[in-house]
Amino acid sequence: MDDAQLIERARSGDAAAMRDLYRRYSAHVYAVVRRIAGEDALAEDWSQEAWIRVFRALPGFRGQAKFSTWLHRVAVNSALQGRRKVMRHADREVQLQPVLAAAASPRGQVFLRARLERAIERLPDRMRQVLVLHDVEGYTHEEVGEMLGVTAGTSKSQLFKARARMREVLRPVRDDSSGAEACHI
Amino acid sequence: MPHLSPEEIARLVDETPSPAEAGHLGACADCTDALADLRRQTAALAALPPIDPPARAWSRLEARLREEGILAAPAPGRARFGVAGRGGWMAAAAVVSAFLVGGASGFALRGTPAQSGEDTLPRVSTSPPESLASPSSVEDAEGEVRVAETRYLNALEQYNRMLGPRAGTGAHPWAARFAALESIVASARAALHEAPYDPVINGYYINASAQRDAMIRQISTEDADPWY
Repeated sequence: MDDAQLIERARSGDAAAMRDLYRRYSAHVYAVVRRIAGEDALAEDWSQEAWIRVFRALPGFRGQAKFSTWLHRVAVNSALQGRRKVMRHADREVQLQPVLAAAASPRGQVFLRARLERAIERLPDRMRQVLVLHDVEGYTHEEVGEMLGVTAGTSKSQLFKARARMREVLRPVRDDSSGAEACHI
Repeated sequence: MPHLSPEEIARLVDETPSPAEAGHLGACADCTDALADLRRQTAALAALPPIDPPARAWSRLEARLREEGILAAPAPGRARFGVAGRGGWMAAAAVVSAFLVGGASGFALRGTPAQSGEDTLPRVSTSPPESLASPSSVEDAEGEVRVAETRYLNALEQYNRMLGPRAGTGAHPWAARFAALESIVASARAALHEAPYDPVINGYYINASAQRDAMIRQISTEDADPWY
C-alpha cells in the first residue's frame, strides 16, 4: 500500500494504517530527533510529540508536499521546540549513548558511525542542531536559518565551527605511554 | 601565509577557495589533509543511517493517541510489536539477565580442558552465591551488588584474556560482540528509563557501556583509517 492510500485510511482513524505509517517512517523520524536531542530519553518523548502532531494534522494534509518531507519537517520542529523548553529549565545533565544497528555492518562503518554519533552528542546544542540539519539531513542554510530563527550567515558560521569541533573530537591522538594511537571517543 | 583556520577549512568543504587560500592549499600538506578529512567527515555524516526507535515507542504512542481521542477505541485482540507498557523494563531486564546468565553458563561450560597450550578455565557456578540470596538490608544488598560486579568484571577480564588467541578466527567475531554489547546497553537503558535507581540494572548498564567503549577504543587503535 502506498503512502497516499495509508494516509487516506489513517485520516479516517484507521489504527492499522497509522501503525503502518509509523513503521514506515519511525526510524527516520527518530534519527533526526535523536540527533538533535543528543539523548534517548528526550528523543522518545519528542518523536512521540511529532507523531501526535502529524496524526492530529493529517485530516488537513492536502498533499502539497510529499508526506515524508512534511513529516520530517514536523519532526525537526518538534525536536527544536522540545530543546528550547529543556534549555529554559536546565542545561543537559545526562549523556547517554546512541543505539546503533551494528550487527550487519562492515567493521569500519560500524565504528565510524558509533564515533560520529558520539561526536555529534558532544557538540554544544546550537552547533549540533546546525550540523545535523545541514550535514546529516541536507537542509540548506536558508532552511536551517528559518527553522532555528537565525540568519543563513549564522547557520554557516555555526556549521563551520561544528565541523571543526567534530574533526578535533574524531581525529586520532598519540598516546605517549604506549606509542599507540588512541582516540578522544 | 599562515595555516588556514579550522573554520576556514570547514567552509572550503562547500565553497570555492579564494586565490590566496588556493595558493596556500597548493603548498601546505597539513591544510590539504585537514580539508580532505573534513570532506570525508561530511560525506560520512550525510550517510548516517536511520535509527530505530525503542521497541515500546509505538505502544506508548498508541496509548497517547487514544488518550487524545485521535484513535477511537482499543482494537480487540490487536497485535503489539515490541515491549509494551509498564512491563517493558522487566522484559528489558530479563534480556540483560538472560544474556549474562548465558554468558556465565558459557563460561562454566568452557571450564573443560581447552586447546593445547591454553590454561584451563575455572569452573563457575551459574547459581547465585549463597550470600546474594538473602541480604538483610538495602546496604547489604548494595554491597552484594558491588561485590558481584567486581567478580563479574574480573571474570570477564579473564575470559577476554583467554579468548584472545582465538578472537581473530571466524567471520568478524568483534561484530557479534559489539552488537551484543550495544543490545545490552540499549536494553539496560530502556530499563533504567523505568527504574532509574535500580542498582542491578545500573550495574549492567555501566558494565556493558564500559565494555562497549573499551572495545571501540581498542578497535580504533588498530584501525588504519587515518582521519577518525
